[in-house]
Amino acid sequence: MSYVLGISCYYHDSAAVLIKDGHILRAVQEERFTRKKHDASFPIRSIEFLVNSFNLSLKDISAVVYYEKPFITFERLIETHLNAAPLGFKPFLASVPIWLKEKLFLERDITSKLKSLKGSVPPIKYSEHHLSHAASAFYPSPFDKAAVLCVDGVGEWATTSGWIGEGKNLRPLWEIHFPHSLGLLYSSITAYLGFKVNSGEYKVMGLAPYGVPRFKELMLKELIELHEDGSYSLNMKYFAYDRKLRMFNSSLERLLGQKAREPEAKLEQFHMDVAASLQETLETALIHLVKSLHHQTGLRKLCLAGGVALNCVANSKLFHTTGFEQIWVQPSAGDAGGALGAALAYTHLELEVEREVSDMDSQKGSYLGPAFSNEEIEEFLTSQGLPFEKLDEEQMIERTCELLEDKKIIGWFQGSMEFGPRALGHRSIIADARIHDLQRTMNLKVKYRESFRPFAPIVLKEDAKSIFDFEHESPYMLFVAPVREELRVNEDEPHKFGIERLNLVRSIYPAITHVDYSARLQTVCEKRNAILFKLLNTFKKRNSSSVLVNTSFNVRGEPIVCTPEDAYRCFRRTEIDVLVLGNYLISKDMKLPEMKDHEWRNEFELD
Amino acid sequence: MNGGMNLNWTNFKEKYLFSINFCFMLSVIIYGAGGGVIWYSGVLALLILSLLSDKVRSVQKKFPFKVGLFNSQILLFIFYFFFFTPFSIFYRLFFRNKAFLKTSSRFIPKESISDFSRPF
Repeated sequence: MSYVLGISCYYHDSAAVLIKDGHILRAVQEERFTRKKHDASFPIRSIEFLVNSFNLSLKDISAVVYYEKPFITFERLIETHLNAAPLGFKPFLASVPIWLKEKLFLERDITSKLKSLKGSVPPIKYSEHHLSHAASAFYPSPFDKAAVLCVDGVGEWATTSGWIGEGKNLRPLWEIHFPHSLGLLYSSITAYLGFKVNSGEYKVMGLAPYGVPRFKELMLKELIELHEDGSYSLNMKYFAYDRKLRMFNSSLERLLGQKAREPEAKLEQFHMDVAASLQETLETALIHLVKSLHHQTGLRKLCLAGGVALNCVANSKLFHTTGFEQIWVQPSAGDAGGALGAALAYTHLELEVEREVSDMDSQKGSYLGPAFSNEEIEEFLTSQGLPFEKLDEEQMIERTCELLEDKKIIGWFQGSMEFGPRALGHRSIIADARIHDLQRTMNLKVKYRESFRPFAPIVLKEDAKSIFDFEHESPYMLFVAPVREELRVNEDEPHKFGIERLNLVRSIYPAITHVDYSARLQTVCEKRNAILFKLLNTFKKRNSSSVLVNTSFNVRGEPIVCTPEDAYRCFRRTEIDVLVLGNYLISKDMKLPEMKDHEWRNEFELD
Repeated sequence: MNGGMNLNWTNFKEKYLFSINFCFMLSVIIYGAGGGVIWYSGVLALLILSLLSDKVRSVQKKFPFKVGLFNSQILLFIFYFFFFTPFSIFYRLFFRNKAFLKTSSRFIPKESISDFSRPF
């Protein structure tokens, strides 16, 4: 029996994962404990949670695997500075002291931090950044043999890599190196559009359907060159991340004809057009790359990981355009998933543990974080002196359905927390997808975020085909699909542009139908999520609809809630009507004690 | 008006010992530099102020860090422009990484993965 602990930290989204003989036991991101979004600090709380969950001490763990090779990253950093000198003094000043003081002594740092836990510190191992991504995509996938593509900002040198996975083996094919990076291209334009790098990319994706891709040809001509063999180069004239402390330079502003948008400034049609153009440029480059991988490998199954693989719009385009028939995307495709991949790669490639392929996948629905029993929830509620309604599971489901029919917005807290950036129905805010104007209400009064941002549907797997033009499964909300034509109710009004199109009703499920009739769907089956399946099934019996809105249980800038306490706090701070914690129900209609945290919005930095 | 002074030794040490040491060191430096009485009166005024005000104490605590940071920046500036930059010219001429050169393909074939026991 061998337990392996995978960790990722010090860049963004630190996480820890525990696996045993190649089976994923638990995985959690540090931000969920520290309540600091994208927290990069050493995941000591996560590790503590993992070892305590299985009554282990460090001596039971055969290795701690870090998700990156720090010395190769340092080499890349120095070579980049050598290439930029004398123009890169500021980034040199910002990065080199930290490396010399801390990051080069990673092993010492990890060891000293682990010493605070019980037992002797296991040996520290290192996996390459893109190997970690590739392993996180291939090993949990339901495929015995598949091509693997990793696309992210940058790891050590690699920004894009191709692999073949078979059984317990992963064979590298090629890499594309920094500074040529699809992830950094997307992040640069994200920064140009006034959103935060490493967190605002999904906003750009959500903004794109409001725009017209009128800069796409320009971007493909000037910003990125697609080579005949499937690879690509960026034109570094427009980017500054290799020599400055910013992502792009004034040449990009001149090319697009406008100054960069200031954060929180008004979004204009121009910004939406840039977002649409970027999205289509990314899709074109990705399709070009994936076609080439298909040609090289001759395989029909593809696994994806790396931050770019969270771009569900691009993922969906790969189905009919690249020759791959089945695609599996790691739900925690960013750096947090690197911790999972590092542990899996070490287990299968170094310890040579055989891999078991499961029909579904072995990600366990990505419900890998902390769980709270009904007893623990009741203990919390009682200790806080809160009123609640105690129900059995069936009553709770029925009651929730009634409340959804009454157009209530519900905070839904069940079972183990999700690993990865998406709430998949265990830490979610849910509502009936048929309510008009719900998108606006939820964005502005519950999530406190930009009104243009779309909401995703959860739907019973067996009903997905009748509602969306989509023949595959999407258990992790990593694909988008158009709502079927027969369910659309309003044709677009041609004289309306941009945000004006937001309030048009587009289908019988207006809350989840984006302006281009697409939806980022999550299909639900009983095996992965029994309680959510029951809820949707009961709702369907009562209403002939099995579609609900599902958004993460948090507000803008806050990590997804982890504990009943986090959930209750978020419930009180927002206009969520009812909170369902396990089998316990709390409503705003009940007499709740006053909360004195009027300044709570300062607690979270806007993302 | 006692700046929150508490005669409990632990609290006193935590709150004021740094300021006292700071002023003492300042006096030693003034003595070494042959400063006159007026300088010592300045240090005394600073000591009194630091005993009375949290803000002064916090500025004092940041001061050595700022000096250190400033010094390291000067050293890095010298290193960067007088050693690193000339070396970079030589390096770029003979050893420039392919990633920074123009090419018709960006695929770099990769045949194996690095050993797990190495951080490189």
